[in-house]
Amino acid sequence: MSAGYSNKLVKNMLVNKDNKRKSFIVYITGGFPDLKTTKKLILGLDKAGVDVIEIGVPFSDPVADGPTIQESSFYALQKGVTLKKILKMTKELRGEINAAVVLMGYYNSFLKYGLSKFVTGCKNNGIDGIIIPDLVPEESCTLSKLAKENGLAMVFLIAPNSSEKRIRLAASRSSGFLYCVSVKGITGQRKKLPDISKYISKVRKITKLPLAVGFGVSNNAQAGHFLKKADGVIVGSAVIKIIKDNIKNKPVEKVVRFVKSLRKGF
Amino acid sequence: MMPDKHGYFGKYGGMFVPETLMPALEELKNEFFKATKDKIFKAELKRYLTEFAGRPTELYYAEKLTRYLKGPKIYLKREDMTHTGSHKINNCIGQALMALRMGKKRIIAETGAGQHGVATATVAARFGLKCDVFMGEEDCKRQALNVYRMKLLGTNVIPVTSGTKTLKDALNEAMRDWVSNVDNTYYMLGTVAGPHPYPLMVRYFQKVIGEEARRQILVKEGRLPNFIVACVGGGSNAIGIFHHFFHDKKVKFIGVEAGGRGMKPTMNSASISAGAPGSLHGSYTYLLQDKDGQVLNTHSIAAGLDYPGVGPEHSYYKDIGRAEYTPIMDKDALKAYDLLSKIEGVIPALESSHAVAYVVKNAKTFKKTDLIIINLSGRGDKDVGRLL
Repeated sequence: MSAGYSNKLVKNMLVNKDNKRKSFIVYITGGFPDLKTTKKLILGLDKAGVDVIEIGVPFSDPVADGPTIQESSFYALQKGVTLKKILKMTKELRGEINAAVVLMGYYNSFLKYGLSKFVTGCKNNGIDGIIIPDLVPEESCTLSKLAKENGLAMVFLIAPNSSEKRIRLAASRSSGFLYCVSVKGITGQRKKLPDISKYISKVRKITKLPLAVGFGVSNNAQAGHFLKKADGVIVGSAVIKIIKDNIKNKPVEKVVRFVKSLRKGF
Repeated sequence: MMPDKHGYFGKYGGMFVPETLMPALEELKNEFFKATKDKIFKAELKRYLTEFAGRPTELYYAEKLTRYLKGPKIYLKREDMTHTGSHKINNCIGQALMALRMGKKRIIAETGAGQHGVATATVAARFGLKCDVFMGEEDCKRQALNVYRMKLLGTNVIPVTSGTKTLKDALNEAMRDWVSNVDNTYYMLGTVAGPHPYPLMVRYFQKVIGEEARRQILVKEGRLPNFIVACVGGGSNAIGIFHHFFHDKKVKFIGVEAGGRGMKPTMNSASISAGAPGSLHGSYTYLLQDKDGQVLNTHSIAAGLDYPGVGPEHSYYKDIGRAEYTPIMDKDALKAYDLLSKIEGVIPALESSHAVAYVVKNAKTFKKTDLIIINLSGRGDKDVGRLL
């Protein structure tokens, strides 16, 4: 485990696990529809009892994402949203919220920013962790080292087809939680979700890290389904869709209402 | 020998992909290494390259072009004479045999100009594989003839409407499809880019170009060429002809990139000449990107060069100085397209016309005794409709 207990992400996840409380993780695209709304959303999500907020850093070529998050990402890019602007916004929220804040984005955005500058930027601007869907543990040596030195948590993803060896590798490099992708596929809503019992049991035997399941969760029944086995659930596209459908019609209120109703079901 | 076991050519290459693809890439890599040691596989590959693709291709002395330029002696490596009309078929035959070995019943591919798509559709028909090709909506319009050819061959062409609706987005969609159908699907990547082992594997299937050319030039001239010139989009025809000459240090490699309408951002596809290292589509390599690392829109009159990245081995060649990379503009490529058609009776693909243009433009800088091989990677019939 890299980041210590002083890290808010690690702490939030572990406190929940000790208290047998399920963790609720919500993804929103940074700057969709604008950064002011993102800021309000973060405050609203925090009040609604979300434990971890993932802020997506928009990228031109999001290969792990389905149409909903892709479109939100393009929208934000066209409005000129950058990593620098996102960090400026999160800085203003430092000390204001209980939820841990994690940046989720594609590797090239961070590479171009400069890995060292990125990690200190995270540390100084209220970011607790980093998730990069196109960075596997083998390729993360430099970033993992920098993250550790700066007390940031790195969260790696595993998939249903990951071997025991790969799960062990991802777990050894992750802190806070291990991101268990529910299906072989990309982000987005699905009508039918897979049975993850065997998958999660396999992962449990390998690591004591809290396990959060994501990709495809859009309602109470689905969240409940995953939470029978996992320690936490991640909701993304469903939230983005609500923002998109209510872009001029109080998106923050609608999202908070949705998230609260999901939280109640845990 | 590059790449190392992690797929790195110096600092370039690697595997920058979602976790779900890692087991599939591991499987592919292991199977590829087994195949390259398998005599039966190699014999089959050779047989299909000969009997189906029509290899070896000629190394043709371009006598009239040589006389016209009053400069170096020029040979054309005639990849345009292969079945389907470009070097792409070499890789597709190899990868189709890989798919069969691995028991995959469905193949997917991305295509820009449609040359790789057509080659993929061709092998899919020949080997009885179900085939879906992703093609940007814009490219579908620009290359309607190739869309028709793919459909005729029984392939399902999926127009891509996300992002910029061109080759890079087709690649994104192909990767998303592969992540979602990884158990039964084989991803037939068309160039020496992407995550390890693709740059290595595609090079293996394309290196036949250089192996033949080296043998042929020694028979015809009794010596090695001074220069080898090839166009570079992703860079598979260039690596294909360069690779076997790698240790012949006196043979200079020139990679010709698409200079488009000029060197301003979004006006060209010259990833090495105008880009900076970054990560896209699975590897760390030169990339056309803005100051925030967003991948830029690209332009080239040759759809097959219209891609913001480049194979990682080229990035490595650039840094160690093994090859020189230089852009040629649309207008010069068009002139060369016209010139070669008129004086040699060979209509080159607009992609390959960039390599011809480089030699035409720089004819005076070569010595009269210089020997040059231009890789004529494809034929230009496909471009006639667009230029009418």
